[in-house]
Amino acid sequence: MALFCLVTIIYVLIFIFDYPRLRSAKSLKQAVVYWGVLTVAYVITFIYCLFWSIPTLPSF
Amino acid sequence: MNSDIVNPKQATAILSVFLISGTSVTMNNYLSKQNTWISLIISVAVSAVMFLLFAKILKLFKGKNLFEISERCFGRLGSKLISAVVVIYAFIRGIVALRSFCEMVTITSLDETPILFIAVFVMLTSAFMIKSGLYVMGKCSLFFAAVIVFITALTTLLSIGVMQFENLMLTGISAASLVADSVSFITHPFLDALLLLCLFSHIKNNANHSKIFIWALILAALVMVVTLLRDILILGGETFSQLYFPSYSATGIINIYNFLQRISVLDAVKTLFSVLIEVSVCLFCVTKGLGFLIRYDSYKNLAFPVAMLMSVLCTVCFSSTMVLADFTKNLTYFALPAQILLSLVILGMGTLKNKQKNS
Repeated sequence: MALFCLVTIIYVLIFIFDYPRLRSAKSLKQAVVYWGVLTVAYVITFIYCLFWSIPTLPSF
Repeated sequence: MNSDIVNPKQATAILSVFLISGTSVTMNNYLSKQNTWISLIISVAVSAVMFLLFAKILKLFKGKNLFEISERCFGRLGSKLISAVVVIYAFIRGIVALRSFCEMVTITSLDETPILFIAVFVMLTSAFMIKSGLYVMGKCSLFFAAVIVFITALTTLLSIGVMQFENLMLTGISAASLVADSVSFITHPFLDALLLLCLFSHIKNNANHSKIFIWALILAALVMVVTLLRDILILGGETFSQLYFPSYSATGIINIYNFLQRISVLDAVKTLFSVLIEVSVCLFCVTKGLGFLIRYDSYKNLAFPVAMLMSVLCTVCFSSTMVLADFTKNLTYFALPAQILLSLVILGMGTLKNKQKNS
């Protein structure tokens, strides 16, 4: 849980850091790629943290 | 000042630190044991030829990176295909380097710390380096190269007392194992320098690329050979070939009158610096390649999302150290033909296009 919270804070910081540049993105495709990659990373992080905190479940 | 321009000195430092990283965390069991240094020297000689070939490619296409070069040679569709392969390879190489470093940290000291925690912070540093511009990476590499040379010299001098020179006896030389280790060295780290073709378009225009490649190779080879010899002399061929992190173990043995001991932390610093540059180069290639593939104006915007994806995937893709070691070994079989073929085809097509242009 602590790991997930920490990583979530990092994702929020990244969003705050990147937001001004992302607002000036010239096309929708660029924003979609940015958000797509970030969302995939976040979802995998969530699943990993879920399994990591329960050692009895099979790991990845 | 343009933050994306590096001078030849910085480019040499980036390449040499990138190459040194290949032997810092190897995850590779050397088959030739105490004769591994011979394999390294053979691979350096072969790589010198390939490096001159890379320099020739850069000379043919001045100011162009690998993706733009492939677009010129193979057209739009072909370049997209090659760029996708290079991006995937850089991504995998980055993940493997990062995971190897994390494994080293968790195995040697922080055994309860989750790998994701270590990986995220390394990748955030890398992403910040990319965001700040290549100039920052160049400056850091210069400093890192100096520190790495200093640490290698210091630990070698301090370890003279614990060295056993009979460990270096040339016994049991097998041609097959020498070739296997040479191929392994050539694939990683030497021919991974192909990834730096994405980066070397940012060198000042008047730079001599052959000089950069050869000086970087000489510096890296010196550090690598000295490190290997030191490890073999301290540990012996058998132990050396069985350890995942021989340098860390070898420097840990050094003990000067009980006053100076456990200086393996110096080796950890060396590893951290070199891995940071390797991962940054891989991240740069991935972001630049993705930018090329989707026609993204500012590839730097992708640095943080890709960095986070790399850190998460490096954590979940390998269930154990053994799986990682096996994967690293198997990666050689796919990487070597691709590296050689790609460089030769690009050079051939480039020369042909230039001739057509001139006639």
